[in-house]
Amino acid sequence: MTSPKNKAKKKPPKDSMTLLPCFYFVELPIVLSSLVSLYFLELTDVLSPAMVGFRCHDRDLSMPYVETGDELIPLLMLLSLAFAGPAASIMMGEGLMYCLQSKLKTCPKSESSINAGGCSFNSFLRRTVRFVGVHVFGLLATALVTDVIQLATGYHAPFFLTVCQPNYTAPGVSCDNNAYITRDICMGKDQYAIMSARKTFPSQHATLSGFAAVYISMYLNASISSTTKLLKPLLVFAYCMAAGLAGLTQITQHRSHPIDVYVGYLIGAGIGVYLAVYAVGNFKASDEDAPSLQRLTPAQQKDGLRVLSQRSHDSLYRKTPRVSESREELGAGLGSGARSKVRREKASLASLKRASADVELLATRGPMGKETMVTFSNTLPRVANGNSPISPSDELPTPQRHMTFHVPFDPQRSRQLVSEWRQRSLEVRSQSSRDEEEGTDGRDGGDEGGAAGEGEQEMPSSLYPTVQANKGTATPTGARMVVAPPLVHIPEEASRPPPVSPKSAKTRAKWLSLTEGGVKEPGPGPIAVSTPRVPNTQPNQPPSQQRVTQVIAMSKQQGHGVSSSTKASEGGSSSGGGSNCSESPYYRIPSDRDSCTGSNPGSIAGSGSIVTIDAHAPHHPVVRVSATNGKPWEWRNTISGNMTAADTAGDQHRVALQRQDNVNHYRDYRTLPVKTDSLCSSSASGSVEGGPDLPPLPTCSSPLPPPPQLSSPLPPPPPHSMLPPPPHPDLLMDGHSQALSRSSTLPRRPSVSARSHAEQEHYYKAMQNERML
Amino acid sequence: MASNNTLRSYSIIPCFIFVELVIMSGTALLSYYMECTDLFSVHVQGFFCNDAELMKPYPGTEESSFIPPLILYCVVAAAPTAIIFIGEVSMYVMKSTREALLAQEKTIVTGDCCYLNPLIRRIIRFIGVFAFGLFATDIFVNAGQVVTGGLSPYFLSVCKPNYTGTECRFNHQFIINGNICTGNPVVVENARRSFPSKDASLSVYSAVYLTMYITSTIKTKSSRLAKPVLCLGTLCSAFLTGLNRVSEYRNHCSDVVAGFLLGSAVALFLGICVVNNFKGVHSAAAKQKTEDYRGLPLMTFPRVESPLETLSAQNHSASMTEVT
Repeated sequence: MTSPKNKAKKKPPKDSMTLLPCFYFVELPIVLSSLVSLYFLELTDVLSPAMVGFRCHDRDLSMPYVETGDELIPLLMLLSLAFAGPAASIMMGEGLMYCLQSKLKTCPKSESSINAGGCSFNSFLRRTVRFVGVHVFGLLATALVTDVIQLATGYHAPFFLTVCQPNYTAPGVSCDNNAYITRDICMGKDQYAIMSARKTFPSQHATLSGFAAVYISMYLNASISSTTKLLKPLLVFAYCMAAGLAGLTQITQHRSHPIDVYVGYLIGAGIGVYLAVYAVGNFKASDEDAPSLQRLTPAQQKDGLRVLSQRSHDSLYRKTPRVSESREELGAGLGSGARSKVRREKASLASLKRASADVELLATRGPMGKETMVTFSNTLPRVANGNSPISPSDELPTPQRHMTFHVPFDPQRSRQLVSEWRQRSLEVRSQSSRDEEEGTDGRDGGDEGGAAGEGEQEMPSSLYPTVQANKGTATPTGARMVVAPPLVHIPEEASRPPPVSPKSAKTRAKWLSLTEGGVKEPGPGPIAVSTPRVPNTQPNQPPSQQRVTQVIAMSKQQGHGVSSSTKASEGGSSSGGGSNCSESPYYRIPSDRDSCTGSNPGSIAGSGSIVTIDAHAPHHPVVRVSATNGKPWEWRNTISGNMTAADTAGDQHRVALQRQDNVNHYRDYRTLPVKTDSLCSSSASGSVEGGPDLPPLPTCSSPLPPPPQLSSPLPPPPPHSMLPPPPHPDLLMDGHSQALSRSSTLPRRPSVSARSHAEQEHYYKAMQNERML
Repeated sequence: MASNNTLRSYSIIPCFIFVELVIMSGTALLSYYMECTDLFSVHVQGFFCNDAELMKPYPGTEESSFIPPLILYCVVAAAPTAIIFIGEVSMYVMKSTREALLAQEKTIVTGDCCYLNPLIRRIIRFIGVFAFGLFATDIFVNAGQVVTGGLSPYFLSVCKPNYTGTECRFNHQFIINGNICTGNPVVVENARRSFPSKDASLSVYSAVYLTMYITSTIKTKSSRLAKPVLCLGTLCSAFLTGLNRVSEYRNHCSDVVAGFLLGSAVALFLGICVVNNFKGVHSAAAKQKTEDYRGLPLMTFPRVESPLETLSAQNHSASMTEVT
């Protein structure tokens, strides 16, 4: 009965324009009309009861007549008692509850006060008026129903023959031949008594008292807490006994037959139960229902998505993703978990599906070896997750520059960031689930126009190059940021020495200051990517700006280590240069999709995470940011520190990652030829041929020799180090869920967490279903 | 677990003394006045001349009945008390049911010395409510009898009315003035208290209360017939008690039916609305608490698993035991 939820938040007073008009023009007319009709039925002779015959000398109708004034409980007294008793106790109960509520804060039901017409109606007033009003209306309705039935049946009261004094010697009447007399042969003088003797079924006393007793009993039952065991039964029994005695006196005084009284009890109790349950909601606070329902729906949606993502993740984890299988899994997940009509999410699901399928295709047909394929497919989702927070591209204030940032990611760091970001986003989501929904709607609507809106919505798919590429082409004018996941096993090509320009250094300093100002959330790593996602409905807003700066800052920070380790590329094998393809003007021209940096699978494979902010102003002078850091080793040290903390299993490739981190990816456009080389090589690496979705890059037809390794203090990692860490499909799931569903906290043990979450979902669903029923 | 299961409350003892005990003693006092004193005079009901319904032979005093009232009252009061006591103690002793019991109830700590463990709390609650219901049923029955003044079937046999004052030529002549009896006033007084039947209502009340207790608390996995036999046995004995009243001409059939309805209504209300089907008070609160988590994302509740799982475990065990 007590709900801490209600206690926790103070409900603000609501404004209601319909409260008073509804009360004046609906409730009051209903009550008044019933009152008027009751007056006509009860006190006037507009309608006369049906004529029913009787037997001669019927013993049951020969009871003595007790004058109306001599009744033990006259009708007027009964009416006043039936009205005053429950009304008084309801008022007392509500007043006591209100006082306790304001004093102790422990009252179960809190109801927000309503402002209407300049007046504020607090919960006490509202509840009292509602309950007492319904009680009054119930009394009137009961009396009406009773009168109607009495008039319709016209049965005789036990004292009928006494007051009627039938003239058995009247012509045409012979008790000897036909004992049943249908004619009106009454000779009694008291017409009022005769009239009242014809209205006995059901007993008015019984219906009224039964209604009042049942109504007040249900109120007491709902409002008195069970800490005192005997108070509730005492009051309930007292009211029930009063009602019972009021009915029984009718029998003992021969005003009604016993059957009249019993039927009257049934009718009154039925009306009372109906009104108490359906008119006042069993005396619970009225506002509880709507919010609970509202909260219910998003939870369900999330459940379905979660199940789905877990399933897909499992499939990814266990086997190399095959098109059919992954699709099956997804479909099953959708069917079982998201059965609750998550329509909006389906789009993203489909994209996810396609992404996995494409990954498979890419991997199989790629010129790379079998292992590479596996690693690639495994790595992809995780990388995507790492980048996902950054991806909202349509929110970017259009930068007039054409820049490409390569952000190398360390997997562990990315994981941390992802989880952190997820928490943020969850908080934001919980705060404004409404906004969220609208946001998704807006997202869907803006798909065709929004270049990167798609990228944000289908976060997992954004890693997938083709999708993003398409989006990017759709809106050439819009600023677009494409995030390419860092590829673990494929080394950074780092074919070019990082150009250093004073201008770039200045901008970097500016960025740094910006990021420091903008980054508010404490992050484990220096990169504050974990900005809570802002609903897309407000595209150009400070938060998005912030994010951009953060992204930039991240890339820049990565840049610290660049100078030291440009060479880390084992890229000889994989040619990671694809990231730059977008920057090359002539690449872009033939097919926009191909040109985009992130879209190119080769770019994913070859580079670390790439943040490309594409203003799509080809004619604009290209401004490149070249980042060279004077202190490469600091950055590395921090990373290595993280590394030591990490589990030993992934040490090998971690080292590789470290090196990648140190690669600086700021490029100068002037150096384009080199880049194109790398790009072509990347495309040649086979990702291009991957699927029908991917048109082959025209420019990359000629495979270029792998970029030369730059002078690197670090020796190239051994080949086995290039194997990706164990796949973290849950990360993929999380990346997905960040847009759509609750996220799981445990990135490390995907299967376990998934299972426990699934169980939770089950329980949640069961509980919700019970609630719904 | 132990620390979780204790609850410090200073209000339970004063609440018990000043509310429950006062109500209980008031009820008992009222029923005593109604039963044993002449404080409430019986309504004098009229009757028809030579009413065949009221001319059954006098079966003798109540003590000569097949079910003497003394024995009936003792059984009605003692049997449920004893069974509830035994059931609670055995539930507390047995290991399997003890867990569920402790999960439902909390140990109340009042002051420094007093510990009210779940066993004592449940016993006091159930037996106290049962006693209250017994008194309440008695009050109901007495009030009905006093107000209606229904005449028992043997009324005219013991009343021996003196018809000389009133002319009683027709059978439909209603005699308003009932005080024309010439018989033993004590017996006549008793003959005026017939509606509803006290024996029937008391026996049915205790039988229904006991049945509800057995049904909802005692869970026997091994023997499936013990519980139904016990429940049906008590209900049948109560039913037969009522029928015996009719067959001995001590009550009309309608009196017994009214008694049945009254007793079962009181028992059902007490069992369902007051003691919550003999479940602990805290189970409902816990369930509500977990439900409140429902709408919120899981992330904001780091410990969200525990209430859910405990709840689910409870549900599982409950469903398992109910199925078997």
